[in-house]
Amino acid sequence: MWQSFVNIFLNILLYIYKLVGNFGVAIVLFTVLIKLITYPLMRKQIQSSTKMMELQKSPEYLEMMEKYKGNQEKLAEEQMKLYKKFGVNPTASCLPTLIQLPIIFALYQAIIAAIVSTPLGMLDLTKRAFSGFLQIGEIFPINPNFLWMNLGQPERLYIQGISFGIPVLAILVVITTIMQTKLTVPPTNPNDKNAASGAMMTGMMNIYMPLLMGFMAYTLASGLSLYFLISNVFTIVQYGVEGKLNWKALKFGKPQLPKLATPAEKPVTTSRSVPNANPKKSMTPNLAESGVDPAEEKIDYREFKNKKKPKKK
Amino acid sequence: MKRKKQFLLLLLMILTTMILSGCAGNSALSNAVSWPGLAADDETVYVAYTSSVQAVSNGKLLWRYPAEAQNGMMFFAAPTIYDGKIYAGTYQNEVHVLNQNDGTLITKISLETNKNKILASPVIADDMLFIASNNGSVYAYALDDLGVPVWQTDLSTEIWVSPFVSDGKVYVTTLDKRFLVLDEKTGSIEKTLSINGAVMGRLVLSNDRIYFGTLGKEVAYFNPTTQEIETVMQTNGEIWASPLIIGDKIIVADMAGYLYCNELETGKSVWQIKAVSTDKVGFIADPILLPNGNLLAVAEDGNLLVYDTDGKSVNSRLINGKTMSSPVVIGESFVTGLIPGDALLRSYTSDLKEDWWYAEPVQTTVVAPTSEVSQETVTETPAK
Repeated sequence: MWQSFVNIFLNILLYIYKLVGNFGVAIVLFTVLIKLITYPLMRKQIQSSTKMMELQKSPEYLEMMEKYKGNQEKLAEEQMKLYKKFGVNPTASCLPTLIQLPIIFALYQAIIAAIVSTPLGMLDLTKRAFSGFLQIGEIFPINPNFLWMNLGQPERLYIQGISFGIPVLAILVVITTIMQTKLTVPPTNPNDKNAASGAMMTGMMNIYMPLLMGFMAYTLASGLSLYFLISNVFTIVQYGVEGKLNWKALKFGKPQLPKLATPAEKPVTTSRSVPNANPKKSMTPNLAESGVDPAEEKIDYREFKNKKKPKKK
Repeated sequence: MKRKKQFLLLLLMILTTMILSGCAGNSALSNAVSWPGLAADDETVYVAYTSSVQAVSNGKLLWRYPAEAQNGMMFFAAPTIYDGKIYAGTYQNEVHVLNQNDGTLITKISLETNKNKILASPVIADDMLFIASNNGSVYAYALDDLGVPVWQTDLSTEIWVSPFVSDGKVYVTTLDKRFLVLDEKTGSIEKTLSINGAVMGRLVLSNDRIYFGTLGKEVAYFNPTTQEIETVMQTNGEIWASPLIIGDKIIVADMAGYLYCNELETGKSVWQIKAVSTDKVGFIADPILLPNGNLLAVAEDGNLLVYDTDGKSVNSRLINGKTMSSPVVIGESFVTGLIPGDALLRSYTSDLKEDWWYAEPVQTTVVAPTSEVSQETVTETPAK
């Protein structure tokens, strides 16, 4: 089953190679193809994140957080109800990421299978090729060289006068992964415990993901690093097209948190008793209506247990 | 809580890397592991496979080189036997010259970089040793001086097939679908011709023509008179095995499981058989002529198929293991190499009755050899 999945990747990759005659270009085109196929999912992820963010800013949500802050179970239950009410799927954002994993594994195996160096490897390749789709005799041997890289080997750029190879691709993968994670993660509401926990996770991901990707790009076949690089760039472009790039996040140092609404002092009953026909509108916080002066709006640090209270001015 | 999450993320990182490295390991394994390369002389079979070269006679191990597996040392190409010596190429771009009688190392030729492999059997002709490496170079050494090559010619890409030497010329095929003619004395390239696919099998001489099959599903020959490549026939599948020429007929086995017999001169089909019906199983091993005059075609899945020269099925036998190695004839029998079956070598008579078999022994005592000094290996051969 898994082998068949890898073989599909391998055959598509080899077919693109047959058309363009360059294995590096084939990997780039293949990555773009994968990203285009998964674009609807990615779009859903972006929309879901946006909806979630808007929901978390809404007075109704904040009110709920305040009301059930001592009862985690009830809070979770109410959150789910609210997600359902506003059509938000909290797990939707994970799907594209999960889909990426088998693609990465399959692509890696496909790259290694395509670049053969022994008769047994060659024999294996002929068995994997779909005979009606691809004539292996026509495309063999596959040239693994692209720019300065051998796509079947970890990449290093050797420059005269420097005794070691520079892992250019691994560095680019780290940079683009940092950019991607920073640019595409929307700002969170610090009043929300879950969002704060999510922010912590995001913070950790900001550190670990570039490290993980960089390590893999450094040690594994450069064909896979090329996939990582193109994939990162394409994801940033996709977010850009959707207008969801969080450019402010690129500023290093303490992130500037958006000013958010605090829960209304009195429960807003209308939104409960009469569900809005257009929930999207109701999710947009209207600070004027809630009677909160945006300038004086403060973060409710009571939500953060075991954390320092802010110094009074 | 935070530490726990960090730990989990770290674990995920390590796991992902391990899985990917594991994938690499599998692929590297499939790239590194080979099938046995066989050569025969008199009653002895010399088999180059994975970490050693072994001499086996009537199912008994005569010697094994090296006595203990050495890190990274791998053999694939069938050894070349000449003048009491065995020439075996390694996956470290070396040719080890061994004493045919006891397997002691006489000398070792190390080519430029040990990152490349020798996948083609060395060739000896006119007191010269010709070595083709997958680094894309052909080397020629004088047999009486294996220290420095007489010449070295760098070609465009990898070479997996042994050069063929005839009439002052060295014929070479490269993986990038080229057929080259070199001068035997100087190594200079005299002619470069395009062919329609890479050549995996040996080049075969007949009527002053050099015949070969290609992965482009074609049998062709180089005509020294016209200096051109001419097509003999097309096949249904890719061709890995070398063609067999018997008189005025050419026998070809392809990777789609077909056997063909065509007229050598005209290329006209005499007969054609779909010998293997299993999908994705074909012929990698060269077809051979048995001592009784019949044809033997060994399919990948361990099917030994015997036909008469008219294409009529005479006998068949299925053996346990994959058979990619080209069989060799010893006396009235033939020997085939297997992976990963219960035996490394199996010998059969022409009517497919088992003669003997040989499994790799379990080594019990090894006396480490000093340089160029004989080594002694005490072995236990499994009971048959």
